[in-house]
Amino acid sequence: MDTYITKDALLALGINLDDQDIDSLLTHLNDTVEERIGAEITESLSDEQLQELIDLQENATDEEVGDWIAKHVPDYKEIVQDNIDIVIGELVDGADEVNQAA
Amino acid sequence: MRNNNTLSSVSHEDTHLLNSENSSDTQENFDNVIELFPSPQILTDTAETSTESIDALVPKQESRLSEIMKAGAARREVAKAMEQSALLTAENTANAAAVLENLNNAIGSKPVTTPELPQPTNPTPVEQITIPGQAEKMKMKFGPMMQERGRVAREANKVRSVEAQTIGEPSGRHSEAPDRVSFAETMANAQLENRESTPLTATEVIRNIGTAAATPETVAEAPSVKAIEEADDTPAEPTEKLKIGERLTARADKIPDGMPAIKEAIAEKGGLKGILKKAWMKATFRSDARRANRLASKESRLTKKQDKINEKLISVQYEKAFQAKKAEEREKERQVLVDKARAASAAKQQRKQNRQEFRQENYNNIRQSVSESKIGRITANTARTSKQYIKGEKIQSKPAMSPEERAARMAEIAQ
Repeated sequence: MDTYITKDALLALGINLDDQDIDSLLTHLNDTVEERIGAEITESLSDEQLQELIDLQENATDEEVGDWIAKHVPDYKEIVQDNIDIVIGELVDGADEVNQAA
Repeated sequence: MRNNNTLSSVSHEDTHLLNSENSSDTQENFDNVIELFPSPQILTDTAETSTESIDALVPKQESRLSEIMKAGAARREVAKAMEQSALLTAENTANAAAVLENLNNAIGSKPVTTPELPQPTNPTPVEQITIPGQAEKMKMKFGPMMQERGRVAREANKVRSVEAQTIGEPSGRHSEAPDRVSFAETMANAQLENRESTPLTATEVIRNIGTAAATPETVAEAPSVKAIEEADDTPAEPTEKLKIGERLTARADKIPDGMPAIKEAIAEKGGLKGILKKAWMKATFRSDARRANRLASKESRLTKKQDKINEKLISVQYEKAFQAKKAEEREKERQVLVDKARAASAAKQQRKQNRQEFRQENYNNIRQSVSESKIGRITANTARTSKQYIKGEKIQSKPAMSPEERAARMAEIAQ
């Protein structure tokens, strides 16, 4: 799993939790970002491309899959960055609630 | 231990006998005296009537008078001794009982018993009162003090006796009683002095004994300079003055050698008054300086405290401002992130919309191409089945149509 949001970023956002809770929160946030990125990539691919990607994921390495995505998904970087920003925005909106819950 | 030299040593039986005979003897003596010394009127009358008999009576009466006077004097002495003895015995009895009671109270739990308690009919002199164990206690407790006081008194008496011999004047009671007063005499004197007072406690009795031993009657103090000066005012012998002068000289010799130099220095500096004034001014100045220093140090401490408080306040205010600024910055960052997220979300939505439009367009294109291929196939079939195709004539190719023409054509075909 790729790390899209780091611990320093959380601390910079004013999230004050103990290490265990921060780790759990980071895992949850990165899973969410990855899920949304995958959904958008899947949505952007045609049926044939999607079938090809599925076949590639089963047989090829991660680098080959990355190269294939970069080639066939021209907005891949924007998709990743936008999804990270969206998740962080949601976290910032609920930062006070997160701190109070801790 | 019976002291035959003291009045208290007179036995009670003797006293009683003397006392009973005393009244009758005194009356008899009084009658004899009256007989010997009639009133002046009687004497005058008798002198006038019998002058001869007087001359014969005088030697006889003189001898008788002298006998009577001797006997009366002896009886008076005995009566006086008896009276004092009776007083002493009664007081001794009462005071001894009070002393014993007080000692018992002072000792506490263990009562003091006497082997022979004094009886009112036959009182025991105070010297004979013995308290088992108490004498040792008293001796242990007050023995050194009494010995010390006795020693001082003896030394003082010796000094006085020497002085009296030197000066040539009697030095009062000390010369009469150079030796230390015995315990019994001190006790008797104390009781006589306190006969009207209430029974004393053991502590008070002991204190009185100590005071009696330390009174100027028994303890002599060394003559002071003041006493010497007072003695100097009174007319004294040249030798006495010489001795006093020697003493003063001896005392003056003890003054440090530096004293004249100090006196000269005082004189040089304008006298003692000037020096004192200067010292007072210096002391005042020093006091003011000290006060000023104290105030300055206090002010300094207060200033430091105030500075610390100010620093704390400033730090608190700075911390507050820092926190506020930090919160503001965080809010700005948060706002930036929120805006960024909104922009990302909008971009995402736009991408989604673009994809949908793209797909729609593709769908439309595909559908159109499919339709066109159908029309072509239908046209070809139609031509093939037409007469011309049957006659073997080639279908004439037509120029490419515009989309509008094409649509109109398609509509005709469809109809």
